[in-house]
Amino acid sequence: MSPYWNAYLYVVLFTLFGLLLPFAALWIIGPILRPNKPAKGKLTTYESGLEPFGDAHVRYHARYYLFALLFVVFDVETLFLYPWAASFHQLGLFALAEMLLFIVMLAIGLIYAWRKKVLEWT
Amino acid sequence: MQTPDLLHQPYWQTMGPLLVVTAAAFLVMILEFVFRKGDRRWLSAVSLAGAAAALAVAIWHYFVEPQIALDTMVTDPMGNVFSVLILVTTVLVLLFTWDYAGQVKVAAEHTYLILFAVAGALAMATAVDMITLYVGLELLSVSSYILVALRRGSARAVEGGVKYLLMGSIGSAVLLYGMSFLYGITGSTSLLEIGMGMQDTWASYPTIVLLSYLLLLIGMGVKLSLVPFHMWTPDAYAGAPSPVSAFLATVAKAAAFIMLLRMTLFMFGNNGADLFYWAGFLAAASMIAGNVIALAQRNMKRLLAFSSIAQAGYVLVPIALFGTSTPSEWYGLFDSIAFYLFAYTFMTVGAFAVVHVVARARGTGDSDALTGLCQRSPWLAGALTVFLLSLAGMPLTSGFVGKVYIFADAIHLRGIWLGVLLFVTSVVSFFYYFGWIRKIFQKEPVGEVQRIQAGPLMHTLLGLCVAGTLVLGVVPSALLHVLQATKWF
Amino acid sequence: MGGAGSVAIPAQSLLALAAILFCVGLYGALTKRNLIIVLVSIELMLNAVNINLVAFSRLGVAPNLNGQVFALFTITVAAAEIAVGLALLLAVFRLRKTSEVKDLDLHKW
Repeated sequence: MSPYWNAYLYVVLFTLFGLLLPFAALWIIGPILRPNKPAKGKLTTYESGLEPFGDAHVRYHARYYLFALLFVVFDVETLFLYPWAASFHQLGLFALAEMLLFIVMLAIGLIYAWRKKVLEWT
Repeated sequence: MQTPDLLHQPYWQTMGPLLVVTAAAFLVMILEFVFRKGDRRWLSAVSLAGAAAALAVAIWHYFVEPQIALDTMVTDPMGNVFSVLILVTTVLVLLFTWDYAGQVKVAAEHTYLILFAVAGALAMATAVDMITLYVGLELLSVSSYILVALRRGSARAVEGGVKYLLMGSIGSAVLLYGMSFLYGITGSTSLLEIGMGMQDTWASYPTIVLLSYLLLLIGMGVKLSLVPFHMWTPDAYAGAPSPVSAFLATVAKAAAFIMLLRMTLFMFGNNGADLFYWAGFLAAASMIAGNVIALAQRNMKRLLAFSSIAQAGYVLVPIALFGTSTPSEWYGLFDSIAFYLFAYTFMTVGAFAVVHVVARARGTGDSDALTGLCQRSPWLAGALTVFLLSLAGMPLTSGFVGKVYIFADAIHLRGIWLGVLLFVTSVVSFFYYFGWIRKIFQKEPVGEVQRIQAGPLMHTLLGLCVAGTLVLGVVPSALLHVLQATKWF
Repeated sequence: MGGAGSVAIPAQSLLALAAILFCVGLYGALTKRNLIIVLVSIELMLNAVNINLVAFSRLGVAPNLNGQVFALFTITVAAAEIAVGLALLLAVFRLRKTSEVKDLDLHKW
């Protein structure tokens, strides 16, 4: 067997162990050790301390979408900034100018979104 | 690479028109959100001026020695001819848009999105690197998706846009998958380097080369709306505003053609005889299906959409012939393709323009709206008749000359079946083109006919299109001499 | 990959993974009814391409960085495409109260 396929053996072992551990903790050892006193407050869904309300299947407001869109633009921008920053010393001034141009173009997009009142929550 | 090297690259020569168009697009975008009040039709004029300036730069650089910048953008005769073609078409389409903005309330994004799309098209015409070609193609495509669906209140527009987006995205994913294999077996994204190594690559990985060629062809087939990848075309054209339909049918297609030509010739040209046959099948399917389905259309823009599918099939015929001809004969094929695309531009933009005016005045897009057009407006009737005769390929029009050249190529260069098919399907197309002409000259039976008026911009546009169609039809040598003097590659 | 103690993954496995992903995506894009699922399927196809490109940039005939650069551009363009796709989907939903492909039937010939 090649070392490549051998590596899968570790993956299989890890998977099995990973499945076994929570199973044992939650369903075998846990019920034996823990006291069992159910109450109404204990049985409700835990939502970071707030009282749970409504259904889990709520619709998100479409406005979130616009923010997500703007986020994606600047998220993807970083994709180009990292390689550029990593090799900045070899690339020099010209690449700096190019990157500034790139950011200015994105900034125009942001100003556009701002003027179109995308950033206002009304 | 050293900084001085970078600064002395021939950017301006290779990217002049592209830079001008991009700058104009950003300028219009900024003007649009600075001046938010009042009548903003002048924004279209600014866009038009930008496109005209880019056209001037493209013509100015037409005779510059072939150069390459950053190993990605070239200025070569092939790119120059197609840049000029794309920009001439853009000027016509922007005239159309300007007129359109006067009658219909359109989003201001309209004018500069067209310029962004044109920037993508110009990148496709001048790039020799797969990455740049892909980015150019997507810039064109994504702008087009938005342009089609920009009338957000219209369910038809949005629906056309969604269909275009879904098909277009699948197409680019397929294209990209083919590109990734080419990169894998050659280790390069440059068309020139891939082409140079193709002899060896072909010998070592024949299956992968065939696979990647087919994936590229299918991907471009979606963009060119070739049958069987045409399903989005009629819906997108019918749903989009008329100037955008004209844009998709002309600029987007010309750009996709130059990209397909460059990729197939540069990468597979030297030893791809068997490969090009596949393009022949697509050409045949497009000619047959496009013309036959057009017979059943009642909506005018849908009919023009199917007609444009068939026209793309005609232009694909010379590309299919590259395989059976020698490189010295390729020059003639290039002349045919470029001539036909120039002819096609004028008649298609013109036809969409007249259809728009008529449909707007009569309140319906049905082809019955054409009835009695010769009484309503003799000038519009005459112009549309010229465009239809040219689309059908009647003598004394540019469409005729273009078709004759393609037909002659097919007969000479061992593609007789394609030539025959071109002829037969053209005859089929007579039925629907002459059906329209019959309606135009039918007299309205009862009552006073309502005259149709068009604005001065529309008259200018139609005048240019009619002049282009007739000049190229009567004295084709004017353009042919330029094309024949071109050393394509 | 390539560091001390790690094992090299053969190119075939990566290509097979990409091919499977691509086919799953293509199948989904052509057969699924819901627009969101179709968009997700298209994204799968593009990610298959990215796997291909990155695999080739390491294990191809002539390994170099171009493939990774290509993948960066693909990711960017895919983001733009999907953003427009979702915007159109919202517009469809506002107008038609549906996100099913089969309900897009206004255009008839």
